[in-house]
Amino acid sequence: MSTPSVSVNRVLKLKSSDGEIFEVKQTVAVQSGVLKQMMEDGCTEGEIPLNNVDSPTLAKIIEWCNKHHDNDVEGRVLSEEREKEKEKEKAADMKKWESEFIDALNRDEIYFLLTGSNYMDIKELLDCAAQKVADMVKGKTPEAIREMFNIQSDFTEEEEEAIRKENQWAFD
Amino acid sequence: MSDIPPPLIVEILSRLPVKALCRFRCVSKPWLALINHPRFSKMHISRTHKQRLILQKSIAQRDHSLYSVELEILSCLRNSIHVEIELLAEDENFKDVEIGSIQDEWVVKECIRGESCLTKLYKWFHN
Repeated sequence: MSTPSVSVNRVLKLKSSDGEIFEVKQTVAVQSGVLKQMMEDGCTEGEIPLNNVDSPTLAKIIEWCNKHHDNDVEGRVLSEEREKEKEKEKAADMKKWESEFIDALNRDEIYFLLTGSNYMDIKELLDCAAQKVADMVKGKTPEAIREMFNIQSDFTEEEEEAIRKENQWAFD
Repeated sequence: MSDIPPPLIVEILSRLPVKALCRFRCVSKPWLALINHPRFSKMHISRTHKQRLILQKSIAQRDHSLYSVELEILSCLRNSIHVEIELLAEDENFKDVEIGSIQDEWVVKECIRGESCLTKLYKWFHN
């Protein structure tokens, strides 16, 4: 449910780190914990600067939130009509949309989406982006992980050997 | 991905299968400490508790009941000897089995929602 201070017709103006302005309905923006808090505190007049989110990422985030908002609204109508079957179908469609949305992004875009959704506190999007990165890395070797995340190993050769031995099954 | 903040590393790692986590223990000391941390295990369980192995005792034992085991719980209890095995054949019938006491031979029937590689865990289960 929307909070009393959220109005259907009002929009927020979000300013990306590179200065682009995006208009978002308040009813959509509540998906962001940060924006929801700002609305509750009544400090959403003028442009809201999002210094950690660039315009391509913010566009993606808003696309996600709009889709989820529309889906929730339709979902409420459906459950009132008790059309359980259709509801299930909708949930499946949403899952499909989510995976297509996330699969279309390259590694950098996913990284920015992950940090952006974390910064704006959008839980479902953070879930989705983090799961995507997990799927990308799960088959990798420790060496590939170090390269991807720019990590220097601080183990001695002997220490690393011992840990590998303990976890040998995971390398088979 | 090179300047990814630590809280997001936790978000990512807590969504990985056990096998990957075990392999990533040797990435670095901070990663080892994180993966071995009890709070991390808890977080990991809460995300992945639906991965299950379906087991059947070997035919020689004349018990054809199917049992299922939550893989992630198995992994997180490496140092403990207690695991819950669910008897699938009868509803609401749970058997508590102490790993240390299991002498039976088990056959892996199926791995639900898990990775087939996770059946390796099962080897640890009765080694």
